[in-house]
Amino acid sequence: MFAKTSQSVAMDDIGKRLRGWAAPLKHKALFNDLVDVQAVNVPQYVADYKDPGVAASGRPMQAAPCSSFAYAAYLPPGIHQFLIYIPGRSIRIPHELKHAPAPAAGRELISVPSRLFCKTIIVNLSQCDAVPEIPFQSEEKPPPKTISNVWRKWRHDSEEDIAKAL
Amino acid sequence: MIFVDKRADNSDLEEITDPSIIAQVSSNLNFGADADDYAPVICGSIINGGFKRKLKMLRSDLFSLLSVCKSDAIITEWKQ
Repeated sequence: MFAKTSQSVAMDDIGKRLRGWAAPLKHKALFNDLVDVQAVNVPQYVADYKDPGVAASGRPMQAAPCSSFAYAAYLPPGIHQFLIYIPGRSIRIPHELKHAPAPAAGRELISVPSRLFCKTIIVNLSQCDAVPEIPFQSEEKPPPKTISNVWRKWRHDSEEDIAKAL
Repeated sequence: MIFVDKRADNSDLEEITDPSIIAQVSSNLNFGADADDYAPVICGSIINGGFKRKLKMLRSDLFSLLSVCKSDAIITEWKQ
């Protein structure tokens, strides 16, 4: 077995206690009726989440392990650009696993390369909807200007105008 | 809300595969060659500092816990 850090052990311990964690995440991302959420790259196991239920032995069944990360923020209307950088890792293989099947065979150190993603989002939020959860919308704003109606004299179409229209 | 899976293709995101660009972004974000940070880092217009500041993403199960939990053992001060 690979040696685990204390952080990864703590995260695994949390993950075991969080049975059904994908259910609130699915509702916040996909069925949020309080704020307009734009969910990007939703994992399939979150979108298709169903309660695994209880096994025949009476114990709760194991849910899917968590392998994704999330970030959420309130964004003002406009164009937003993100860079997501996943740092590379060097995984040290124990000496007793040096003769294990690939990819661990014959190696002591496996390097996972860094990855870089970019994403551009255009937020076109309607300012007329009062959403108290969004801080920048709670400020007082001047009322919009009203434009008076424009009246023009009605003129019947001539036969020539009707022929052109058809 | 943005999700990233470190092992998946992340079809909604555009991956930059040019190693020189990746190395340049890594140096701009002040990551050394021996950095062993597990969580992905996000930067851009979501932060006031733009592409100079960086934030770590949370694992989805912990994110889900913090978004619904009011326990004083986890949250001791209301920020917003």
